[in-house]
Order: sequence, then structure tokens, then C-alpha cells
Amino acid sequence: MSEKQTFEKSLTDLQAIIEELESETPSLDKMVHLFEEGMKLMKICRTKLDEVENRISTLVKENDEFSEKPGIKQS
Amino acid sequence: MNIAGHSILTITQVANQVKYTLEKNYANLWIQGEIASCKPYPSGHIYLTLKDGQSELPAVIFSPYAKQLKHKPVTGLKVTVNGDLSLYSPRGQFQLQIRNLYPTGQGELWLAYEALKEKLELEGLFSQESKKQIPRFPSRIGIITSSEGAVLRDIIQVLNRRAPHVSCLIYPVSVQGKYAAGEISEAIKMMNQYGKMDTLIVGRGGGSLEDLWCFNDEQVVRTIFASHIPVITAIGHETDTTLSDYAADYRAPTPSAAAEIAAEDRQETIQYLDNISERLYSASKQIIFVHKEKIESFHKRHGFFKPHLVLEQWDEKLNVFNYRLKQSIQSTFISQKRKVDSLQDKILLLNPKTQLKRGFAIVTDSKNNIIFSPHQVKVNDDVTVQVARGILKTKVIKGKIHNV
Repeated sequence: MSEKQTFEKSLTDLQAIIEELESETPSLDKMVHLFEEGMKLMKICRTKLDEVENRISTLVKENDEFSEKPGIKQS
Repeated sequence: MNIAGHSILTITQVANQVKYTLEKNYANLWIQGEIASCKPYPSGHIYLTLKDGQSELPAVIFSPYAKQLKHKPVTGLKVTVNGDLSLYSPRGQFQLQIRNLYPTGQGELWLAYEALKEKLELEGLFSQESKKQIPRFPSRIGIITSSEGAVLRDIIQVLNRRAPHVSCLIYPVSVQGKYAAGEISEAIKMMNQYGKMDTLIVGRGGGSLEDLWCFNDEQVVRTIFASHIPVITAIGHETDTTLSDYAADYRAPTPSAAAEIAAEDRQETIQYLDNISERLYSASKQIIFVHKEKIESFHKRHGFFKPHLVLEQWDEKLNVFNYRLKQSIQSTFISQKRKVDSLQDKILLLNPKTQLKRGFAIVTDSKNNIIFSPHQVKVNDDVTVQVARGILKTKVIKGKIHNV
């Protein structure tokens, strides 16, 4: 999944699909396409929500390079 | 009136002229002195006398300003005040009409604060139009605060409870002292440069005026305004509003509130997705129905031609698809429900209270740190043992280390 296909983005796309399906009557092919796209986005969202362990990390800068260290590190 | 070339004034005319001169020439003064007396009236006005070694100055704080005062004036307090001179004509007495009053030492700070506030406001740093929307469903939240202290703990606690799927990236900074302002603005810049974050929370617990002052630093305020990532501030107590709060996209009264604004509740999000699922299904079903109707009416009209074979095939296809749709929705629902149930069980198990009920205990030292190893305490130290129905205060008699 690309970095930009975030939960927020997936949800917005999903809403757009629902609105399209609810407001007009597309051809069957189009409908099937939209439905499948919708199911795919739904799955992305559900998977995101299932990542239960709250990943906490600290941003550390060493030699002008950023790195993430797990947990809470002292400054 | 004019007598022998002299123009004669009435008392009111003199009073009005003096009043005009005073108000014109002595507006917006900053004055330092000591409160010699101070008397609040039922009307809400506060009458005071200010003095220094040689002189006294009668003053009044009218009730709208009195209500907004951050510091209560009391006799003996050294203060810096801001206001205008005017004349109280019924008594022929000139007086200072105070708009703001600060304990001395803080007066200079506030003067700088007001001046900077006005400047930045004019530049549009606080305008509502430039506020960015806080994403409701972030994947990752950046937290800029001290790595020690209750602020970080509170934010993480709320996020763990409400939105365990959201990850946090912490940028530890000092939140008071002379390096604080530099570190905070550096952190906001770095977080923007590093990217990969949906929201930033900038936080600090309550503290004295001087402690919170770094959040009135021009550089900090400008960096918050310039941040591409939406910024939520949670600085000090609800009554302290810093310039950083004005420039932020959202100002939360407490760190916990900031965390709540930053992420939608997971359970509510699941419900919302369920609702979307249902709509996706019923809208698709409706569309199939419309197409089916069309085909059927076509079928009736043209049924005696060969094409009806083709149409029947379509009809069958539709039925199969309809069935598949139903199956896929149902199985998604069932598997999601199972997941939620098992997660709830897991969360219950993680709750320390549940562990206590099973007979486990939590031992903390006098500073409330949880004791994991006998290293942390000495013989005779006071410790608190928390059990399911209460606490025990006790002393350490002996410690032995287990190698695990």
C-alpha cells in the first residue's frame, strides 16, 4: 500500500463510490467495478483498524539522518 | 460669556476641556506602581489608588475589564497597568482608567505579548480561514512535548484506548527554559520535513507564566502557522491562552482532549464502516433490480424473437452475481464481528484491574513508580501495594533478585 493510500483517503474514496452508486444507475459493468473497488477499500480500512498494537516510536536525529526508535526515548 | 475681554467658562466647560486634553494626550499608558488601596464595588467596578514614593494616582477598572483580569488586584501588590487618563468631572478628579493589570515583572512580558499578538494578528496568523482541518482518521500522529511528565502519558493513554490502530511518533523537547522555544520550533519544522504524519500535537502541562512563555515566542508561533501538518495545541491550563494556541489549527483545553480530537474512536469507526458496507450492498442490489426490470420488460415485448436466449443468459448471470454479492457481504460481516469480539476480550485482559481481580498486586514506591525489581527499593522503604479492593501501606523487609 502506498504511503498516500491512507485510511482517510480510502474512506473518502469509499464515500465517493457509495454516492455514485446511490445517486445514479450505472451500467452493470460499471456497478460491478465500483462494488469491487468499494470492497477493496473497505478491506484496507478494516485492516488498518485491526492494527491494534499502538506503535509508539521516537524520532531521533543522528548525523543529519532521521531514524525512528521504538518506544519513548529521552531527548 | 465674555466680561471685559476675558472669556468666562463654566465649570463644566473647564472639566470638558481638561477631559479632552487628558484623553488625547495620555491614552494607552503603561504605568508601574504599587496598589495603595483597592475597593471592588457591587457594580463590578474596582476603584484603586496607585502610588510610588512621592505621588498617588486614583484609578478605576470598569466592570467589563475587571471581569477579564487575569490577576486580582490587592493592596500592596506592585503592578504594571495599561490604561488611559481621564477626568471624573462630578468630583473634578483625574483618574486612570485601567484596561489591564499585571503583577510587576510580568508587566513587561505582557506588554511584549500584547504587541506581538497585535502584530501577528494583523499579518493574519490567527485568522480562522487559514485553519487547517484536523483529519478524523489519522494513521500517525506526531507528538511534540517533554518525554517525561504527564502530558505524553495522558495523550498516549487516550490514544491507546480510543484508537489503538493509530501510531505515534514522539519528538521529545524541553518545554521550559531558554532552549525550549528553539527546540519546539525545530521539532515542528523537522516533523514537517520528515512527513509521514497526519496531525501534530504540541503539548505542555500547567505551569507558571514564565514556564509557559516559550509558547509566546514569535518563532514558535510562526512555525506553528507555517506547518503543513495540522497542529493541535494543548498548553497549560484551560485559562492560559498562549499565542501558539491562537496560531494552531485547533486549541485543546487538555492533553487528553487533544488526543480525543486527533483520532476518531475505533469502535465508532467500525460502526461507520458497517453502515457504509450496508449501503454499498443495498445500492448495488437496487441497481441490479433496475436492470433486471428493464430486461424483463424487454423480454416480454420481444420474447418471441431469438434474442430471448441471450437475455435469459443475462438474467442468470445477474442471479449468480446477486448471490455472490450477498455471500461476500455476509462473510465480511461475520469475520469482522469475530475480530471485534476477540479484540474486546484482549483489551479486557490487558486492563490491570482485571489482573488485580485475579489476585495479582501492583507495588509502587513512595514516588508512585511501579516496582519491577528489588533494585528499585531499599530495606525499610515505604511501599504501597495495590490489590483488587484497596491498598496496603507497608515497608520493605528483605529483597531478593530472581534471574529471569
